[in-house]
Order: sequence, then structure tokens, then C-alpha cells
Amino acid sequence: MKKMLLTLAIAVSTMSAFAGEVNVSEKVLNAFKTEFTTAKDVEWTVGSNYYMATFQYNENYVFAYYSEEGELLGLSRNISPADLPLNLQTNLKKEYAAYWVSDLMEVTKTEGTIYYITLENADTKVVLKAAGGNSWNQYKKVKKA
Amino acid sequence: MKKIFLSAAFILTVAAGTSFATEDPVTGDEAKETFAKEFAGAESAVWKQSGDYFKVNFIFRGYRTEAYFNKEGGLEGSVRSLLYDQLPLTIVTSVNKRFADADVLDVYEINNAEGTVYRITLKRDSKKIRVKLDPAGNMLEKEKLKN
Repeated sequence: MKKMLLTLAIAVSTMSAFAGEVNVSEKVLNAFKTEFTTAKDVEWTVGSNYYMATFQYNENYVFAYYSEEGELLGLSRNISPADLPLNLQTNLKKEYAAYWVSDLMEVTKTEGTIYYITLENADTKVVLKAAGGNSWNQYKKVKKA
Repeated sequence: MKKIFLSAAFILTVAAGTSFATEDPVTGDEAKETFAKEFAGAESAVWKQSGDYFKVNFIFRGYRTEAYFNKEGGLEGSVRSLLYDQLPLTIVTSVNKRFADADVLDVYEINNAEGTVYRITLKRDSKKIRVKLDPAGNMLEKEKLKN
């Protein structure tokens, strides 16, 4: 499930929203409106067994994922490194000071918040994950061609 | 011992902007060395000492921050002032559900070796409430404040 959310969140830029033609179930719409009463500019995308809403919420651009039954599966948004909890910022500097940040995503599920950060140098791209703790763990590492 | 610095008394000190400086000049070279490494790029650092501990107020990546060091230079914890929309979404949705009609007065992120918690002060119907939540959005404490 976590992998699905991350995959969906990363691929969101390639997905086209076709608002107006999307048939979103009442259950999902009601669940969304109850949770996000102040959401603006909402657009829906339908997946094989989920719905994704993209919207403005509290000055953030947010992605929300719902099951067909209207259960909120998770949220995600891109953030800047300065928005990370301070202990995660300082832990990152120790090992990856020579890398630059190319992507940083906050994923929210019922059990808490997970951060995925993509760091790069000339040779390598590495994705780290921090789940509700003080530390980062390597999620993926790729050598650049 | 660590919790003392992150107790309500110290957080209130941050909020009220009062200092507990001693008359002696602040040294704490070890603390300053750790600070320079952990918070490279920090601006407007102001140091104060309280007993065996050192407190520094500074701006780090645009955030007003306070950090606490022991006399060996170890970072004991930090407190950071946030805007409400800078909180993790799980915290925002949790607070919005419970306090939909309240105004947010202040938000602090508190870090120590045990992890991160968020302290938020709200106002509803002329009454102030202070809550503390863990990163999953679970409410740890709720307190009614005197106006």
C-alpha cells in the first residue's frame, strides 16, 4: 500500500486530470468534503481501484487517495527540506552533506507521516525514507548512467 | 533531565520571549562548536546559559528556533516555531477535526532524543486551549489555559 501511494505520488505529474468527465462516487465525494471542508481547486482522477484528488489545502498543494468505498488511503504533498522536522534535517546533513535534494515528499497515512527524500550527486541517486522516527533509512539507490 | 528543557515552563519561556540569562558571560565553546556543525547557516544566534545548560535562539532556514546544549556540547533538544500550514498534514487534519472552529494562536515543533511532538495553542469561544500531538496526530495532552 505504501509503495502504491509513493508510486502514485511520484507519477502524478504524468497523469492527466480530466475534471468534468470523472465519475466520482458519492461515498468518496462525501468523505472528501467532510475531511477537507476548506479545499479549493479540486480535481479528480480515477485509477483502477482508487480515486485521487488534487487540491489546494491550507496553502498546500495536496494529493489525497481514496478507496472505492470512500476510505482515505493517504495524503501526499511535496515540501521543502526546511519543512522537515528539525531532527531529520540535522540527521540528513551528517551523511549526505555533499548531495543535493531533487525531491522531497511527505506521505500521510493513518499510522503517521513518512518522508521520502531523493538525494543526488554526480554519480548516484538515493531515496531515503523516514517513518515517524528520528532517522533515515535507505529506500532505493541507483547509479547514474 | 532532558525533559526539563522541553517542559511547559521552558516552552512558555520561548513563547513569552523572556530570558533566564545569568550575569556571567556565556562561554560553552563545546556547545557552540556543535551548534556550528548542526545548524550551519544559522543567523542571529543569541546565547544564554542556565546552570550547566546553554540555550541559543536563532533563525535557521527561515524558522525561529531554539536549541539546548549540555556543557559537553551535546544537543539536548530544540523547539521551532511553525506556521499552521507548515505542520505535517496528519497533524493539520487531526486538529481540524477536533477544533474546526478554533483559531490557531501558535505552533511549536519540539524535538529531543525521544522524538518529535507538536504543541499548538488554539482559541475557541474566547477560551484558550493548548494541545500536544505526536507525529501521527494522536493527542497526548490537552490543557485549558487562563485568558
